[in-house]
Amino acid sequence: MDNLNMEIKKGEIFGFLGPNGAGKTTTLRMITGILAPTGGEIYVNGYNISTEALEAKRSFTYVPDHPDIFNAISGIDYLNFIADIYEVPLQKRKEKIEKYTKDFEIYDALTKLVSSYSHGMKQKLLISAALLPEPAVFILDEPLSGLDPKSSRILKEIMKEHSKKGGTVLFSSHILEVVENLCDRIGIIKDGVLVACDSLENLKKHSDSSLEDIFMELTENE
Amino acid sequence: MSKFIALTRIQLKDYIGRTTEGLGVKNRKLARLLLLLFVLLIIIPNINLSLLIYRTLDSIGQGHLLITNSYINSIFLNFFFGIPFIVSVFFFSRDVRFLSALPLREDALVLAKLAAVYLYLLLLSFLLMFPGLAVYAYNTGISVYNVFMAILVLLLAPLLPMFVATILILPFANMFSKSRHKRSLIIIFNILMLFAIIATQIFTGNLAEDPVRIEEVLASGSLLELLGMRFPPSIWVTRIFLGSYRALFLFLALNFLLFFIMKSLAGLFFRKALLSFSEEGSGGRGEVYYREKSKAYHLLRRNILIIIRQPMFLLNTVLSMLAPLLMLCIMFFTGEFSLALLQSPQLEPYLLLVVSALLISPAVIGNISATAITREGQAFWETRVLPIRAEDNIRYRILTTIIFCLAGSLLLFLITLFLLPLTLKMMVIAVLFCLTTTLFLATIDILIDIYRPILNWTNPTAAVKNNLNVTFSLLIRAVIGLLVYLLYKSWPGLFTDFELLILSGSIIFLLLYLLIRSYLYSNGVKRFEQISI
Repeated sequence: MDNLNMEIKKGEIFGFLGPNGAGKTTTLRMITGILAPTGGEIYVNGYNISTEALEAKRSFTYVPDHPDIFNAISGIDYLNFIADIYEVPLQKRKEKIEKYTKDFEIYDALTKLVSSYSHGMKQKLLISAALLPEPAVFILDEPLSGLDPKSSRILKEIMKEHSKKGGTVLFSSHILEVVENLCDRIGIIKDGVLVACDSLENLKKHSDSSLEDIFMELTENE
Repeated sequence: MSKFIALTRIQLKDYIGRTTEGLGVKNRKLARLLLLLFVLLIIIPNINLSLLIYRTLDSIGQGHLLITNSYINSIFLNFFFGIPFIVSVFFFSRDVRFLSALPLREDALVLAKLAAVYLYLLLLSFLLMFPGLAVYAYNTGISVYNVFMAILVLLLAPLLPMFVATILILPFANMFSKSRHKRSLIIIFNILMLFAIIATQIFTGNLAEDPVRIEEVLASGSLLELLGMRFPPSIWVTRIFLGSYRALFLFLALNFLLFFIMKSLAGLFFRKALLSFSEEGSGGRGEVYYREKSKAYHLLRRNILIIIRQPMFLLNTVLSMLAPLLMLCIMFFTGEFSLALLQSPQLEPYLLLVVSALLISPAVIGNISATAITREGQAFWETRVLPIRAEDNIRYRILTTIIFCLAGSLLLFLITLFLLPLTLKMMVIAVLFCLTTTLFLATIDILIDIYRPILNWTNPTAAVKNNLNVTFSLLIRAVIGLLVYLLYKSWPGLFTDFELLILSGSIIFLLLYLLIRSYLYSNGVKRFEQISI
């Protein structure tokens, strides 16, 4: 990453765009503490991810692009594990697990081993788990890849609802249409450099083009 | 380029790349130097041993049996190391499903995967056979024919154990693939196989190294013929070096035959074992439950399950824990040990040493902490993202090692209670020594993995066996052993009172543990937080 500076406000849905290899996943990994930045500082919900890692991590949940999780346990084992780590009370976890897993249609598979889940089912399990603690910040890397249309729609509704309640959503995506319809602000990254970061309206002020045209123009190789 | 060659090339490149990555040395020159050092560390003592065996055998006019001995050792160890590697590469490798979808012939796929196994076994054959061949050549004279034959035998040596192991695994894997307990059955199969191999190894080792036994066997006929009857390729290899073209023909014919059997079985192997084994069982049992548990419970359970649910990890751990027990059992069977010997008065002064050594053996042989982070592989991101203190993340990994090691020690302790006439004082001292040693080794080992985690592995063997962390961990034990030996040489008087010696050892390990612990939870934690995925 090259001097990446950005701020995402409370209650905002922020979409992160960029060509393959631009640095979207790297940025999200640095924000979540998986990767250590070589310089600079990252704050999540006011906590420094390097020096106040525990407080920062209590503020967000993360869904990675590849659902590589420990898969020798059942789905319900995994959800109980996450609920215990984020200290979700018993009654609340029961309600939420039932709600999300039924919405995503994986409830009946919860007693099966995660290793037997398809990519989409693992993705749904991870999203359900990430929603359990009602985090202040919800971070998702390519969350819609692997999801069926119904589940994609549910997730988009959940993201909107979360934002309405004052929560923040940060996600990366390749699907420009989703970003266009869902996000309050958009960040476009190219070769590790943030080339644009604004609301769609402001980005469009400079030209009458669609987000696709703006994206192509900003990420085009010189 | 043919598809087979392309596939083999990519498999070998992948294997070499990952092995180099596993070394964790970015500097190529340093990597080569380390590899050379590793080769010398194995070859030099092996040359000494070969010289000893040659002198013994030559004294009865059977010097050529050194080749038989080297070949048999190489075959058995290749077989022993080959089985888990083949199982790992075929049944628990991440690329099986991807490769299955490629437009490739089934036999090409199987043989290309075996190419990586071959490379690994070739290095092993070289390390095991070269010293024997070199010592024989040095004593009998070097000729172009012998050099050429040595190269040929070295190149072909891994094929026999590799093909036999693969063909043997086929029906078992096919049988287990339909079982709900396929993972545990593979482990039992491996332990039984190991048991058989070590027993045979001890038997043949004794036969080749003990002149009295050799004389006995010679009295009943030619030793070479006797060995040949039991395992003909060993006699063929020996006779090749004595100039027999018939033996050369038979040896080559056997390898070609096995290759064609393997090639013709490859399709069956692929369909019946590989694909059906790759089908994951759903394991859907029980009901959806909601229960609150502590973070400690979850972290400990997670680390234990990572070992238990992955057959290669479990096999590695169980073997580490049970290796001394296994050796003891085999020695009983082969007559090396007897109950009378263990309870003899001559052993009494050394009982405390024996029981202490036995109790610490799971911690010494097993280096579970050295791969505690590596074992998690790509799933490591989870515990990094979750609100878990890095100290706790490390602590429960160490505790997992301690639980496994102490379980092994407890088992050995219970057995020694039946076998040895121990006093209460001896038991207390030995248990104390076991606890402090286990604590120290489990803690120092995790530091190695914190500094050298390898999270991007394709098969589990790469994580726990072909990993330099394990070598570093063993190096720590070797250094401790060397220091004890030097102490013994410098002040032999210190070693007269074993109670005082073991108690002093316990205190030293406790102090070392506290020292390492303070470093681990300061600098080690900082390094842990820097681990990138």
